[in-house]
Amino acid sequence: MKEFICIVCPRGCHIKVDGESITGYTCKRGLEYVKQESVAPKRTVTSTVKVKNGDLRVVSCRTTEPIDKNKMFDLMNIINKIEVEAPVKVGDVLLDNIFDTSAKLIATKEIKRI
Amino acid sequence: MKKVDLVIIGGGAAGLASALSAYSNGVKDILIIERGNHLGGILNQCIHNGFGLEYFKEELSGPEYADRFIKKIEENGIKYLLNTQVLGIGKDKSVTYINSEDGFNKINARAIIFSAGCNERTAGQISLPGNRPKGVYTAGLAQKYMNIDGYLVGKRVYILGSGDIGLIMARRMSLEGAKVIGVSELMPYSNGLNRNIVQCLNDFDIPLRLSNTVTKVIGRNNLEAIEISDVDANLKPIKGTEKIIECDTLLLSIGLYPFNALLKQAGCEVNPRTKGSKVNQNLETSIKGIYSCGNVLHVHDLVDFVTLEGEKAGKCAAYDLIHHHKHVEKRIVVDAKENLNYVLPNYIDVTKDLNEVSFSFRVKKPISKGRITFKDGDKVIKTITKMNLIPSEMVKVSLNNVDFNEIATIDVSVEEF
Repeated sequence: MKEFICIVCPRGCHIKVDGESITGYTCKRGLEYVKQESVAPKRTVTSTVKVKNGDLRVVSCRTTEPIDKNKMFDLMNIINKIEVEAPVKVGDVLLDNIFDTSAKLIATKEIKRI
Repeated sequence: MKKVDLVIIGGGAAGLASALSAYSNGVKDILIIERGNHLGGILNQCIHNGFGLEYFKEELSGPEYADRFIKKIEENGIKYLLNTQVLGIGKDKSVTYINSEDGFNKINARAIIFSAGCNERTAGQISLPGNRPKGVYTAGLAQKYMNIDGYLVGKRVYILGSGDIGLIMARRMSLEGAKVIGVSELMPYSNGLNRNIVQCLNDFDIPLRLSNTVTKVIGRNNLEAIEISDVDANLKPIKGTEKIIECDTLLLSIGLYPFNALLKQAGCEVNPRTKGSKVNQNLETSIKGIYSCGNVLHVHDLVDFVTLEGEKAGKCAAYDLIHHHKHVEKRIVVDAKENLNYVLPNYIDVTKDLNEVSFSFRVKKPISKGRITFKDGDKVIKTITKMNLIPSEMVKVSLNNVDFNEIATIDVSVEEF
């Protein structure tokens, strides 16, 4: 038997997985999380990328879907090489098809051009 | 002197929500005063995910969460000042402020919502032993340098305190290539959310040492090392358990407290438990027409709850501005008793149509099976059962279907059963 702490929401349910039996989850998203987590853990990555001519030097960003946990550092290496030109809008795609998945990297902040 | 119906001090999550709520409840003459150079407050540097699950039913980063409110502020043409510092609030609801464009100014408000947020506790406040070299930061300051200004403050990092900001920074700095050596927590339990222990520490093999603290800061100009020690049940360091850890950065994630100085100066009664103001169920302070909400009232763990509290303050302020205050028949004093750190509201102003009051509180220690009791003297008004109560999670419960006219005082307590 393995116990997981759900990271889907701040509630942090303790979910037990024993072969086919899964107990302790309180929502559908928790059940999906633990099914995924016990086979191939995934994480949403949030970071910043450099901005040229913006009112801030960096713009915050996140992946639109969780990516493989063991590829987080590979993604960081790519993120740290990206540089965008201001203005930037919330939702602007900074990187598409991350590791050939449907996950995108999007900007999460508005940056004005100066 | 210039007059404004509603001045909102602080343009973060609470202030933005209160402005929009007051606006949609009929108050159009609003001015938000913000110290920073963007609206959104601390959300702008909280670039991680997990905001909005309660309020928007989706998972957003901090800047996205703020952006939704900022867009509505702009759409409605609600006025705001940036880079503006409020210097004082008067009992007469005058507000003095200063900025580099208008200089020194004084305006008269008919109502004020105070939503200035909170401060981080610093090394001085916990009498951190040892030197004061460069390299010791509060976690939120390091977060601002990292996420807004684009600087990584160090390469070998130790974290004191298991508060959520420290945990979030452990992950953030690890992803940016720093080595996070460990986290020490004075208490025998973590102060952060479980999900953050999993995804910020466990994912990066960062050890969490419970009942452990930093007993010396070492280094002349730059931080060179720290000494950590285990602590006993009285939180005193145990001799012989000292360990030296070489590091160039020490982050402090040791708690937040309301940045309430301006309301204190104005003469609003202070709640000694929260360090915020005392408020009634409408979030109104001891000065009529001054309301307080968000982290300056009491420190929240979820921004969604800050938003809801801001909306309530905006709605109550708008009601009182438009319809004048309801007649108060009596005041019930609310007190936090056994196992409670604090409870809000501090008093209930009973009006004719009052039928529900919601309470927020935090427990002093983890309680796995809790029985929450509301008492008027020896008489039990209501009991509610709640599982897994922990100090880091605010509890919200309400009292309804109660005749408040029959109640003299309310004591709230929690017992383990």
